[in-house]
Amino acid sequence: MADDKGGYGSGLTDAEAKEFHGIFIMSFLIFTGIAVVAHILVWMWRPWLPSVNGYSMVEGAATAVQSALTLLA
Amino acid sequence: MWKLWQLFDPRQVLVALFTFLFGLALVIHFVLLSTDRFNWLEGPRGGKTAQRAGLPGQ
Repeated sequence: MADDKGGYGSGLTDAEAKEFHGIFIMSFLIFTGIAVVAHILVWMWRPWLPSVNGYSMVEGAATAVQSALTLLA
Repeated sequence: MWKLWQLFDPRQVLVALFTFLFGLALVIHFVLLSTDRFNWLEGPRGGKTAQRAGLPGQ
């Protein structure tokens, strides 16, 4: 029977908490790295910040991206 | 910061986190699939102008 040795919380010892934290942070960084790469690839495929006149390709992708960047600046 | 895991049980945190991230990923992927520009399976369904009513050459 899991007896709760008193005190609230998860019952992890300091060492266990530190160990888990290390693994958790490492996993988080790997996950974030993959996500960043994926977003870069998608942006290269199709940028997702349209200029004021939408994704119209009339003036060409270059100018669309240009006006999109002004959004960011 | 690591004390967090003495406050919250890692198993519950992981289960909740995975469930939340999976749900969010599903939502985002389906939202993108429902758009014309980001539908990576069938591409623009309606085409650029054909869909909008009242366009010449409909």
